[in-house]
Amino acid sequence: MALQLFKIATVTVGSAGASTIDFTSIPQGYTDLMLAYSVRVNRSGTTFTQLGMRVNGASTNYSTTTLSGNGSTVTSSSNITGYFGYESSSMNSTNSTGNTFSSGQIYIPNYTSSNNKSALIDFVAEQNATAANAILSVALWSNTAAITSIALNEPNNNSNFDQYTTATLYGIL
Amino acid sequence: MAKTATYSLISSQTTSGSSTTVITFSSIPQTFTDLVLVVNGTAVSGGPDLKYTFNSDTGSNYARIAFYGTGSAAFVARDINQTGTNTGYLGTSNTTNILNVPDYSNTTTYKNIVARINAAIYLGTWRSTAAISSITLTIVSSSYASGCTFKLYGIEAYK
Repeated sequence: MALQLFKIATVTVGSAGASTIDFTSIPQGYTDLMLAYSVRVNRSGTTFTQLGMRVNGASTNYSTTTLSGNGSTVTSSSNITGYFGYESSSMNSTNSTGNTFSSGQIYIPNYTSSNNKSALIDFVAEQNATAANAILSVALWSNTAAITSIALNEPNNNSNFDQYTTATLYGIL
Repeated sequence: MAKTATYSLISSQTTSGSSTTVITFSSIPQTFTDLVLVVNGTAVSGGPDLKYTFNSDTGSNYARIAFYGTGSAAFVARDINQTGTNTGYLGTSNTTNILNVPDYSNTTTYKNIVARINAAIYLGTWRSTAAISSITLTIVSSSYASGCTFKLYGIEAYK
C-alpha cells in the first residue's frame, strides 16, 4: 500500500541562528498536517519560554486550552492570544541545561477545509534539572481559510532559534 | 529483502446531515502493526463522549482512565467494567481526536487505546485477546454534525 505520510519540508537552523522558521506555499493536496520540532532559543535570563506560531500571518482569533505538569504541580489554563497554542509550549532557553532541546508535535486535521481549524499540541521540555514541563493542549484558529503558511518564532523577546533547532512539516493523506 | 514501511489510509467516512450517531469501520485488514484513527468535527449539541467498542462486543469488558484539563482545573477520571471505552469527545466547536491502537491484530494480549483529545489524554482497555477487526464509535446523547471526518490509518513497522 502507498505511503501516505509525506515530508513537505524540513528547516534546520545553522550556526548563525534564525529569528523565524517559515513554511510557506504549503501544498493544498493533503488532508492533514503534522509539524514536529526540536527547539532551543537564546533568550537570556530564562530557562523556558513560549513558542509563537502563526498561520497565514494571522495575529488574531486564536484560543488555547492547556494541561501542564512540571513534576510537582498540574495546572490547566485557557488563553486567547495572538499565537496558535501560545501557552502550549515551553522551549528550552539560555538558562536551561546546555545542549538540551524541547520537543513538540502539532497535528492539524482538515487544514484546507472551510471550517475553523483545531490542533492537538504535545510539548515536552526536559533538562535534567529542577524545572521541566510536559504540556498537552488543544488550540483553535477561528478562521475558515485554508492554511497556506506556518511561521514559528520566540514572541516574548524576539530571540533567535539556536543552531540545530529543527522543524519538519508533514502532509498526511 | 526490501525494506518497507507504510502509513496507509484504510478507510474514511464523512457525515452528512445531523442525525448520524454511529460510525463503524469493519473488515479491518490484519496486515498492519498499529492503527491510528483521526476524528475531526463537532457534535450537534452538548459535549458528548465518544464510546468505542470493538468487534461488536457490548459486554462490560472495557475500562478507561482520563487525565484532562478544562482550562481552569485539572482532573483525572476512572471507569471500569464499562460496555464501551469512552476515550473520545466532540464539542460544538471544532474538535480533534487521535486514537492509537498499538498491536491491534495480536491474539495474545488485551488491547489498549491511547487517545489525545483537547487538553486531555485517555487510556482505554478492551479485555479481549481477539484481533480487532471492527471499530464502532457511538456518540453519547447527541449526534454527529454534518462534515465530521473519520480516518482510519494502518501503520506497518519498518522491516
